[in-house]
Amino acid sequence: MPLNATQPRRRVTCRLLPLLGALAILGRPATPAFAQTERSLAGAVLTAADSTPLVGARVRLLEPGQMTSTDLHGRFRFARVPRRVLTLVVERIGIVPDTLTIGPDVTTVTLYVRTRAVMLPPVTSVGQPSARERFEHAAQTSTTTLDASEIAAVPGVAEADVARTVQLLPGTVARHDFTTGLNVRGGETDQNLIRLDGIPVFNPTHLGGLYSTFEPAAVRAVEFITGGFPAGYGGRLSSVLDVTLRDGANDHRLSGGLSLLSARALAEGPLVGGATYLLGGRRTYADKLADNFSDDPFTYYFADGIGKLTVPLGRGGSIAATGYWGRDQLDIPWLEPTEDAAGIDLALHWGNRLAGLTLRLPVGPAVFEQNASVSAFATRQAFEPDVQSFTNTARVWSLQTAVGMSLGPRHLLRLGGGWERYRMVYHIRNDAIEQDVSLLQYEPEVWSGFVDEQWRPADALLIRPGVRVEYVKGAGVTTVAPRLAVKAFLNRDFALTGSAGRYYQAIQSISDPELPINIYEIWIGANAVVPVARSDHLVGGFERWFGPGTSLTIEGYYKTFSGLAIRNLFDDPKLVGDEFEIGDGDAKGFDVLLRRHTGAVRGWIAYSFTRTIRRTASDTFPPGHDRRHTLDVVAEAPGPLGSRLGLHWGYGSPLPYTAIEGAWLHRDYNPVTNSYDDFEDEPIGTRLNRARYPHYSRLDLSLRWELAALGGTLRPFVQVVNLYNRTNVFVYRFDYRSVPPTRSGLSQLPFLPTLGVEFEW
Amino acid sequence: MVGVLRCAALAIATLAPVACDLADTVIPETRPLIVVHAVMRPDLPQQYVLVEQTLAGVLPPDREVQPVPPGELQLPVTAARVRVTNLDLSGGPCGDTVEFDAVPLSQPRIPGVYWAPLGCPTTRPGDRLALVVEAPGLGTVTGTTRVPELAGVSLTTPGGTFGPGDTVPFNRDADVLSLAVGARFHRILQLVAYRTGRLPPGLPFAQPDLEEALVLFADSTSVALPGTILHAGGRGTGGPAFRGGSYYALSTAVADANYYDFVRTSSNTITGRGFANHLSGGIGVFGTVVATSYVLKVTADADDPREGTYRLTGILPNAGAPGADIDLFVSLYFAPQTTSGTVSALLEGFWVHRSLETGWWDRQAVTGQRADGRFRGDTLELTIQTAELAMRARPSVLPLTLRGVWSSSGRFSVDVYEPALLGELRIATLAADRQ
Repeated sequence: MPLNATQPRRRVTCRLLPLLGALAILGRPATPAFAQTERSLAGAVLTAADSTPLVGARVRLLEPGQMTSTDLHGRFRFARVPRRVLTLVVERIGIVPDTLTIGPDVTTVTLYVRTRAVMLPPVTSVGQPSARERFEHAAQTSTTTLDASEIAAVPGVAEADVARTVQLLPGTVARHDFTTGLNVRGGETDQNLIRLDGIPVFNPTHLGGLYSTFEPAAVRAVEFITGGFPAGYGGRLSSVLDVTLRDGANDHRLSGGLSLLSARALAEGPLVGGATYLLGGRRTYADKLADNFSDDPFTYYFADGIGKLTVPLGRGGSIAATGYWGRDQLDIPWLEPTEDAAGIDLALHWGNRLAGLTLRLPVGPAVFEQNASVSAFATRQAFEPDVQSFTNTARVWSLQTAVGMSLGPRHLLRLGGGWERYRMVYHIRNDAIEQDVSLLQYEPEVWSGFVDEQWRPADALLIRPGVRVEYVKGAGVTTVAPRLAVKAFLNRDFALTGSAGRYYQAIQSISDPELPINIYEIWIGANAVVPVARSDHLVGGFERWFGPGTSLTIEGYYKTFSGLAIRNLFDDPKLVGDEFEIGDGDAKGFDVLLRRHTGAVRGWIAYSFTRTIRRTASDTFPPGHDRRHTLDVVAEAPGPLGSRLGLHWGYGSPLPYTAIEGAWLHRDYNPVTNSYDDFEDEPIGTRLNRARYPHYSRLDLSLRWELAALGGTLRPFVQVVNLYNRTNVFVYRFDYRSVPPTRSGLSQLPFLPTLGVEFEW
Repeated sequence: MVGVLRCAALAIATLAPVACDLADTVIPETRPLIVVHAVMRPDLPQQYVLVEQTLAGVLPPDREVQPVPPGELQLPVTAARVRVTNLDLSGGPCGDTVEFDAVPLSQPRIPGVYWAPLGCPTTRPGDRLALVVEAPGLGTVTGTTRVPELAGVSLTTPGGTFGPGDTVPFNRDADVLSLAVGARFHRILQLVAYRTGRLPPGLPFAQPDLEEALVLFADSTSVALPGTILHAGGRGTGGPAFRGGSYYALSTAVADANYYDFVRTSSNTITGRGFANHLSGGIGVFGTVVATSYVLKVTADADDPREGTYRLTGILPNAGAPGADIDLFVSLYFAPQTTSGTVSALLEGFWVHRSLETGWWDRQAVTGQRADGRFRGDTLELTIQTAELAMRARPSVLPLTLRGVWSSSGRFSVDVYEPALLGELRIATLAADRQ
């Protein structure tokens, strides 16, 4: 566990002060007054129906009178526009002209426009966010979309983070400050389908879960579906987190950032034939600094790289290659060297690697999509030299085909199929005597096909039926998963929503979910012993819009789980099939999302009520993420000194934990002397998760500036986590040696200021 | 500047781990449970069971760690009734059920330690034993175990094949020790090695301070053990398990699943979950181990010119009487990963009218000694600990210290010191010749 959670807070605070001063000096040559009068504005124009880039659309800013047109990827850019509220108009033959009000601090924008083929009444469209487009034209429930600017605006530790922002959306529980794991509507963290440009990612975290693997600056949009997801998605029970990288820009750019955590850079630009590239990387540098300036080695780092190459094809088609590489490395001196022993090191490394190709080709009225990818996660933990090692690899080869088409003005049909071949290996080896302790392999293969139709039988009614059929080779299981989403408009701004569906999951994690921190998931796959897990969702609610930029969504849900593989802590390494026990459960609750999408003050208030139960053969218990009440307030607003202010306040009701009722002396038996030489105090747990930690709350603030300097743009920022320094309990420790017994513990993040700077040329 | 950057580096390094300790809060006492440690050893003449209670914030436990037995338990349960029944054998010489006694005739009384009569219970390979421990006010603990069979052990090195109890020459740098056992009704093969440690003054009754050298589990019935293996299991230091110039006891044991679970699992500090407990009504172990032992005489390749065998000769003066001849062969080996010049030595020869040879500590024979020391540059200091030497005069250990300055010629003199009332006293000077 990389966390050394005993670090006193006061040390960190005082050590940050010199660096705060240093960065204040760095920002001095800039000219804030000048820089704050102008900004750049970039964006993309996509079709609302299927997000196809619109080529050659005319994009106008009314008051400055600037105009440009979209490129092959639907993108546009204005270099210098006034920093005030502007009106942007998009026009092209074949689309409904659209206008959008742009706030003074918005620098990127994505417009979803309707094509003429939809045959809506001829109206003069008003500027509206993509969420409004979804409201009007998509039956799908439980969906939230975030763009890069919204992710960047949420204050956090050191730097913006995709998963941490998603944790603040309704229906999601984050168990503590040290995890980016998502527990969605009573689901476990392995039940989320997390994709990068359509490629599944096994373990999307760094630093034991403290950071996610996605570089926010490279992200175009994040779509998060917390339930009732359509038939095109399969393989997970609880949610879909679809992260889309943006294409490279049409001019050469270099951007990056420097935070207390890492240094990162992102290069992008055009290539021949209209192709573009985007290439980025980041690395933490605490280890390097510590090497040079400290006698105490700090042996952890993570690094990752991301790339995307987009090549336009004729008639609006494209082929895009996406790649990601990440590595976390941690070396721990397990047994310190002595005069007569060189010592034993625990060397850990883990990371994801993935690569994929996506072909997108308009064929007549249809759009054909073909995706081929490989995604792998690998870890090795070794006691070195030559003592014992643990390796775990998870790999999936995937081919996915889909065709989307408009069948007249009221039908959108999407159908497709896919093939996924998994291979997970779990290997413990005694290197000293070259013998295997445990070797487990799982190789499920999933063939799938789906039909997903959105039908508008009347202007006020959207129905989206679908079905997904999967065959899990290895387990010999065929699953049929019907899906249905319905939206009924009571008036232009108010709609009743509902969805239902059955979901299957062929791979599961057997990491112990009750541990405070799991560095990564340990995946196993369905076979003759491991079940295919199942979940049924029933979602109902409404969505109400107040004007063009504010929406309120309330959804209630009921969800069942069965065939869950729950870690068996007592599994025998020699036996196959006892690594888990089968469990089931259910979850019910409701989510509220009040969101302001446009204007000078943007953000959301999210509230969730959840009640979750798990059942095994021997117990019925609340899982560790059974948080009843979660409230998050996220806002972005004009701040002092020309800054943009980001704010997050979160509240969570008590989470379950397993109390300790005593300790025993676990003695070491010595067969040579037939005596017990030594012992360790070992805690005795009570019934699982019957106790609860105290309430949780935290206030975070950030201030961001944008300065023209050094021929480019600098964006320094300051963030403060846990502004009122609330002590939120992370874990308890119990001491039954003392009389009377006592309880102490560790807190989550205390008051923690951080700062950094981003740049762009 | 360096200071600022160092601060920054450490601040960054602590970003992730930052957290605060919570203040102590007094919580209610809990009800103590019974803890039982009962590892049956059918290969040994007498069985015993430890009965104690959990830490519940009621009684302050003694923090001293000492091997039990002969040491004492921290929170013993003294009024328990302990019984073991062989479920597959009735009418045996020990009766159907064997009562364990807290006040045995054959052992010193230790509170919480319950002894079976010698030779009881009668067991055969494959038999199932049932344990019942009743403790007034605490409850009843039950458990079962199955007796493994260790039918035969074959230990092979390049020097040959050896039987149990043999002394096995073993070059740690070159040899691989191949071990194969014939076993049934077992779950795991355990190898444990101990090096002769410091001999305590209370010999022959005190337990020698054995140094754990190796703890290894193998999920098979055969193991190839390289001499260079590291000691990373158990309470290992991470250093080499074996070093030249030393004797080791190697225990080869087969054990049931209860014992294996007892040693391989433990509860997580935070969740209190993870220990595979096979007892009902309490916590601990009721398992069975059957073991056999070898003695390893470990040598090593000579990698340093100071390593090798030296012959020490000379006369030990004896006041008012003729001096005693000394003719001793000392084979010196550096510890494999030493950075401080640690050496160990095998001794063989004559010391004051009697033969002397280092060997494994044997309580019955009151023999066994070791010689450890250090080269500081070319200055050698070697301490010989031997019960045998001391037994000549009185029943205690007398360490002798040899000091000399090594010469590349292979000839140098060595002074011999023994403890005195104030420091130490030089008692002889010997000649050392490289062999």
